[in-house]
Amino acid sequence: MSPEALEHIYYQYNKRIYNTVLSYVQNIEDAEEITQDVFLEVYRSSENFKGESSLSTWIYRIAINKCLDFIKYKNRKKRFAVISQLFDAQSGELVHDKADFFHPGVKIENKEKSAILFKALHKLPKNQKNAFILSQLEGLSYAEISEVMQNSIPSVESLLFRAKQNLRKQLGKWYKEE
Amino acid sequence: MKSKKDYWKDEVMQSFEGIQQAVPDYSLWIKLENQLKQEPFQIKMVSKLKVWAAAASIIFLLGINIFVLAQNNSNKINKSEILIEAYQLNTNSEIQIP
Repeated sequence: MSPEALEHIYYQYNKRIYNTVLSYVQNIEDAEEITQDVFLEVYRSSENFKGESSLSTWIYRIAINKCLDFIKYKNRKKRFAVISQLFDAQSGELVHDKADFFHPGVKIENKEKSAILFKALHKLPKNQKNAFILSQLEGLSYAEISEVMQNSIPSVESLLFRAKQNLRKQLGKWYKEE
Repeated sequence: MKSKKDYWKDEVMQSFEGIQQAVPDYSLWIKLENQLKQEPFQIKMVSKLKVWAAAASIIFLLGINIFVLAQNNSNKINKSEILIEAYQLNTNSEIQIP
């Protein structure tokens, strides 16, 4: 693949991929770095793209795998630094919970509530999280999600159903705090 | 009947409605382009068939060259022998004094 071809693909998909990645990692700097990695991977492994799925499906798959690898790496790092994670690096105060994430595209009136939903989303099992992000945030159809996740449409429906149920359960915890 | 908590949950669940796409920083492509320049080269996989075809072509060309060279050498020997015979040339290195 030539750099010119990659540039064309980049401008066609960068917003969609960046948004998906942002929903996963919930941090702007990390999302930009991973988006960059995704397109580098597209460039490096373009020979492996056989055209069995659509280009967008293939890129989404790369993006999701990169996000899951990143989360795994971050969790591993956390395990090795449990004590330091308990305290804020600058203030030295005890850290209670993950910082709120405010998605830049959310309506102002939904800002607080969506931050809670992102927090709950972070706690979902990975398959449910994948299905929810691709459906609710990316607006992909069930057929498209099933292609990206390499699952059947009924299993995507079931994952989404369980994701919504689990999110509601998670939300209950934050309601008490309000 | 729905509780206050359930209504609140509904509102939170619907808070992604009308979400706009976030736009990555415009410099992201420039960063990516710079990284592409540092990429050593792209490794391209060549099929086994092509490798064997190339090897066979090289062997064939080498074979033809060796055959032509061998032919030329034997022709040279033959020509000199014909000339010696035709002109009854003395190939003996000793000088004959009459």
